[in-house]
Amino acid sequence: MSTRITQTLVCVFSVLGAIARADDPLLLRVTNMQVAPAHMPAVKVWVKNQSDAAYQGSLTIELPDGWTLDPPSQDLALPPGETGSVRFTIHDAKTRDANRYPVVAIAKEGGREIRRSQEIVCASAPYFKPEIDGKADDWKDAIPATFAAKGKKTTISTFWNRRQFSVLVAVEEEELIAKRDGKPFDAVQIAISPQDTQTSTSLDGEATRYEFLLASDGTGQGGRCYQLAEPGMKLGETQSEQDLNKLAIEDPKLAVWREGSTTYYEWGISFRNLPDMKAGEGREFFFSVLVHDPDGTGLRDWGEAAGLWPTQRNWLAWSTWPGAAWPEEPPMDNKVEWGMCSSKY
Amino acid sequence: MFARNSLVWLTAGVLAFGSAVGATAADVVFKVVMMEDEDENPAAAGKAAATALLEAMGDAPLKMVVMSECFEDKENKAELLKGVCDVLPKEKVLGGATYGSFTQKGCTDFDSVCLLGIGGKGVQTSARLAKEMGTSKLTFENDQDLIRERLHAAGEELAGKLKRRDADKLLILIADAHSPKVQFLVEGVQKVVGKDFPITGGCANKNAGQTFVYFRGEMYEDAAVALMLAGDFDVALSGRMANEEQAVINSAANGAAEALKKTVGDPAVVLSFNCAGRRSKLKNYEDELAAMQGVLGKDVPLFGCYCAGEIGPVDEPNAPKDVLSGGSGWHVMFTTIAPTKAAKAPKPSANVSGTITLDGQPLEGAVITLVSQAGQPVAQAKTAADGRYVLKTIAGDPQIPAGQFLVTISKTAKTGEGDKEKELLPMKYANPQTSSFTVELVAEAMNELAFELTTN
Repeated sequence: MSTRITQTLVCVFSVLGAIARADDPLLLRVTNMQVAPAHMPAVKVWVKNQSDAAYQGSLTIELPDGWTLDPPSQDLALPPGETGSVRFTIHDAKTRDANRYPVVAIAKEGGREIRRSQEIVCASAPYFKPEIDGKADDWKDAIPATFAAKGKKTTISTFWNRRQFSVLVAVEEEELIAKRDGKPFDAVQIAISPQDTQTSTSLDGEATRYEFLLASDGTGQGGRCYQLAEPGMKLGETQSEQDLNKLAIEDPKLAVWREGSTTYYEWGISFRNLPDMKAGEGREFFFSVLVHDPDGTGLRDWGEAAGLWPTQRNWLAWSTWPGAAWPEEPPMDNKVEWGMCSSKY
Repeated sequence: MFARNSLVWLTAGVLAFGSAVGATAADVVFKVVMMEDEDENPAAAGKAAATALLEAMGDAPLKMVVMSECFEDKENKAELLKGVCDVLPKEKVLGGATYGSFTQKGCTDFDSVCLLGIGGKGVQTSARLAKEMGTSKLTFENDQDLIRERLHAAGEELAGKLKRRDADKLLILIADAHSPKVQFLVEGVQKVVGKDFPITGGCANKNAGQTFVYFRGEMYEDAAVALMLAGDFDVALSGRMANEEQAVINSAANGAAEALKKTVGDPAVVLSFNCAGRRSKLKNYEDELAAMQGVLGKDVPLFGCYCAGEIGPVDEPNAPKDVLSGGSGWHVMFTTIAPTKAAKAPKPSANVSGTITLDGQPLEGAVITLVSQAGQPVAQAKTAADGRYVLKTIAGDPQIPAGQFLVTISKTAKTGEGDKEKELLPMKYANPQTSSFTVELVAEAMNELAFELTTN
């Protein structure tokens, strides 16, 4: 059995142990903002009741100054062990160039209050088809989401149109290590899933994601793209190191290059290669990114930056591959909310 | 006692049928054609659609053509427009780029064109263009006052240029001014035509590089088109708003039903401007169309398009009647156009009430639904504490159409996981194909229906 599978079993037991503790009776999380066409920004508050008693209380969110929450609060009842959510609309939101918005999720029950502070982003892909040409000049109207790990920034930008989903990942790092056999190398791992899918915790379960690995080919411009998973694939298969050469996509739309201290991965994938994904304005889906920087920060996890709970760590959410260097803890689940919006004007 | 697996016959008074009164509508002609481009040849698709429309119009004189298209990028759109105008007189072609269209034939999105042909001796048209409105690159967040000023002026100018007639009945607006900007354009138009004049329409696809309106065979950005229809017909408008899947489907049926109910006579066409955002909540786009067809039937021409803003009655309980929506909220707007003097034969209808029990006990909180043979919900009710219900149509009318229906009965409760719910009754009752209940409603009568459910 591989080391990662052993780690999976260890992780499952420790997660169960965490649920049994009463230290964190309620887990809270505010999702990133979705901006559907002709609609105010919307968020959900997810709540997990880890206690032995039912939760019967209300939820609200403290927003940046001047923003209004609609409704101001909502009631939620949760049996022990259950997870639930409520949806809010935000009025009078003002765009910040940095696309980072501090919020506090607040759960109240009787006289008790539980608070969780977060920074959320607008997680929406505007409508546009960039040229995948190794230049970032046509990404200026994207909505970038930036997070930091050990002082190094990663910025994720996305576009969509009816034919193509496009991603630009800008990785601040000391050096770019191109793909090489048998040794760790720099890479970006991407997972895309339809809304309302879940990641199983069983090796016999099936993947619900499209998953790709992007790496430099060492030319200073080109890259290699490998499809690691697709919906229906057995999760056990994703945990064995497959021969990447067999998973390579021919003629990928991918450019990988350096500018100063930043590596850029510019990638486009046809929706024909993502048949379970329905492209459309306002469509919500799941999208997440892992950045592998083995000679620098190690693994950078968008799910962690998006505030997923410790209980949402899951080895089975991401495929392993030859050359991958994984930390002790599993990465976060790949199910992080994202959406297709319209255009700026 | 109610026996399962049986067709329920109830005694009732004799149905009194009214005879159909009124004339047919040869003078008011609307035809709809939709074409998908499967050959990556927009010009050919445009020609084919235009040719099909001419054929459909027959001898009726063509007055105007409204186009809804969803091709990618300016070059393809230009090719399409050229194809259409190679066949149809370009001075009669107007419209806009949309997110797709829907007609009785189905729903389309990219690489498709839908044409509404307007003609007949009983219809007169006047169309005008407002260009360079100066708002397409302004954002509502930063430039609301400037947008208001400019679109008020543009709307007033646009409506002021229209040729007016005593028999003016409906104004259709198509604009590069997505919601909520378009509210100001409508207000400007209303300064000329009045607040009680029927206006409908939609906003062009606002995706980058896709936003165009069409007028006399030319493409314009930052512009709006107004089409005034006058003649021997009457219009009825409705609007509904929803942003979750089942509510989107139900509201489409409700909105269509309201417009139809207000229609005097049989409609010659139904126009529908529908928010593209609503479609994003549907697992199957066709579910919303099927809900409309359950009410409208499949014979009346339906011209529908998915827009970035819809103009019509606001679906808010306290909204003044003279305020037409251009604001936020995912609306679907319906407009029926029916020839004047045509009268619908009164359709036979019935009142329906009864009881539902489970294992011999009154069942509270169960939802009973009558379903047509085509699978569309027609009427619904929820039982009270004593198990009694009184059926109403989806539009809220206690008069249910007479006829034969399937029945479903369902009672659900939230699981606590988000919006998920679970069925509390045996699953077979929730499916019209397995519930084993069928009813025959007798018109002009009180139909009392009892359903006895068991947990085994």
